[in-house]
Amino acid sequence: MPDPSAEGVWGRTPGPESDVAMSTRIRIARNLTGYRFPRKLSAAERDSLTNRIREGLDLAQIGTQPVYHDLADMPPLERMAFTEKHIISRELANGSGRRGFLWDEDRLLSVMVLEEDHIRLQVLRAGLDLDDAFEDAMNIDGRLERQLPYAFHQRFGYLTACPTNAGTGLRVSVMLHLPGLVQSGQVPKVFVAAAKTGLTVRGIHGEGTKSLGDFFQVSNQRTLGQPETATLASVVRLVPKIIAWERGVRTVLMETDRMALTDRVWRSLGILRYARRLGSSEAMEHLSAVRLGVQLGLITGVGLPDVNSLFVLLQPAHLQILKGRPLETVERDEARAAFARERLKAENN
Amino acid sequence: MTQVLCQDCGKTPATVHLTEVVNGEQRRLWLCPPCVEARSPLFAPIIPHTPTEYGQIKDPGSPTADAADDSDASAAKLAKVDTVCPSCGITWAEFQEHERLGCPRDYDIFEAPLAVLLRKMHGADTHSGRQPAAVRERSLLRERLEALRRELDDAVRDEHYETAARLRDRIRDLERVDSEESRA
Repeated sequence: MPDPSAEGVWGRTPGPESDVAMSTRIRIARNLTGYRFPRKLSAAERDSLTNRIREGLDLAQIGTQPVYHDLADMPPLERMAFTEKHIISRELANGSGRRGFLWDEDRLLSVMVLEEDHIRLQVLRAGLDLDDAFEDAMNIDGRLERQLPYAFHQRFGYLTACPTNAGTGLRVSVMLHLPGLVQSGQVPKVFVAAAKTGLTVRGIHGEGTKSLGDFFQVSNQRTLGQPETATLASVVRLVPKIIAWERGVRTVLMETDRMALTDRVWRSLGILRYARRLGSSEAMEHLSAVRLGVQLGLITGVGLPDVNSLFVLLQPAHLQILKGRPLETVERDEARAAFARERLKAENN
Repeated sequence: MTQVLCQDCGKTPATVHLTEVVNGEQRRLWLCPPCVEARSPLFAPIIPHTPTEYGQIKDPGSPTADAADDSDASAAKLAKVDTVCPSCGITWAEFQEHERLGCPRDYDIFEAPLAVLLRKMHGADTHSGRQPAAVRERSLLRERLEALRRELDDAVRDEHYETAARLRDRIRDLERVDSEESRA
C-alpha cells in the first residue's frame, strides 16, 4: 500500500512563487529503436521491453532512492492514488498489460514505462522551478540515452507514438492556482496570451464550467523545429506574467471589498471544518478559497502545506485507502468530511 | 468534405473540437460556437466565429481531428491507401482513426504525409535541438570529413602533394569509421 501520508509534489514544502504556482513538471517522451510503440506490442514483447528498460534504468543510476512499481500487479485503488498524487498519468494507471513506473520520492522523479510511449520521464518540483527541473530532466535523459538506444530520425528528431510529441518529446508545464482571475472573469486573458506564444492552458474540468479547484496548467504545444531551450524559454517568459496578473487581481479584490473576501474564505473554512458530508468538487472549491485566504493572510492558523496536501488527500482513492476498503459515494463524502474536519480542526491550529 | 453537425444541438455545423476532461475521463466533442459558449462561458471571448481562425484552439491531443482544415486532405492524398508498414502493419487510415502511430518506422513509411501533418501541428517539419550522442558524433564526423575533402582539393590545386597524400589517408580512415558506424 502506498503510504497515504506520502504526498508527492503537492505535499512538499511550498516552492518558489507558491502563492500562485503549485508545481512544475518537465516531461520527456522517448522510445527505443527496434520495438513497436506500446499499443502494438504483444504481451511477450511488453515483458522483454520492460526488462530491457528496467536494466537501462538501473545502469543509468538515476535518482537517489528509486523504487520501481509494476502496475500490472497493483490493485486499482493504489494505482489511482498515484495519479491523484500527480506521479503517473491516468492513461498509465488505467492501461492494460505489463507496464509500470519508477518513482523517486526524494528527487521527485518518475519514469513511466510503456505508457503511450516506451518511456515518459518526468521531473516534478514544488512551485515554479523551471530551470532546476529542466536541468535535472536533461541530465537524466542523457544518462538514459547512454544505456538505451533511442528511436531518433534525422528529420523528425525523437520519435513518439503521437506526432504531437515528435521532435524534442518535451513538455514543460506549470500548474497554477488562479482563484483571483477566475473570480474576476479574467481567465480568458490567460488563454489568449498563451495561444499567442504557442502555449496552451488547460483547466481541470469538474462539473459544468468551473475548473476544479481553480487550477490551470500552462504548457508548450510545439515540440518540433524548436530546441528544448527555446521551449523552456517560452514558458519562462509567460508564466511570471500570469502570476503577476493573478497577484494584481488579488490586490484589487482586497482593496475593493476586503470584508466580502474575508467572509467568503472563512465560510469555506467553516464548511471544511464542520460539514458532515463533502462532495469532491465541493471540497476542491472550498480548499481553493481557503488557500487564497491563507495566502492573503486573511486566514491564520492554517498552514499552506496542509491545504495543498488536502487537495490530494481528499481524492477518492486516498480516502478509500485510508479507510482500507472501497466506499460508496455517500460513504466517501462522509469520509472526506471527517478527514477534512480532523486535518483543519480549530484547536489544532 | 462531409460536414459534421454539432453534437449538442445537432443542427449547426460543428467547427470547434473540444476535449472535455470530466473527473479525469477525456471526451472529445464536435460543437458549434454557440453550444461551446453555452457549455462554458469561460471560452466565450476566445471562440473564433469564422472558420479561418480556428487554428488557435486546436486540440493538441488530436492531430487529425480538424476536419475543417485542408492540410489533412492533402496529407491523406500523399498517403497511398494501400501502404502498410511492414514492421507494425498500420495504414494511414488506421493512424487517422487512432491518432497514434504503430512504430518508429512509420515515420519513414509515411514520411511525406506526416511532414504535412507535422508542419500543421508544429509549424515546422524538421527537428531542432538535442540529438543522441551517437548521432551527434556521426554528424561531427561527417562535418570533419567535408572539411578534410575541401583541404584536399586545395592541396591538390596548389600542388602540395605531400599534404594531399596525408589528407587522403586521414580521409580514408574516417570514411572507414563512418561506414562501420553505419553498419552498426
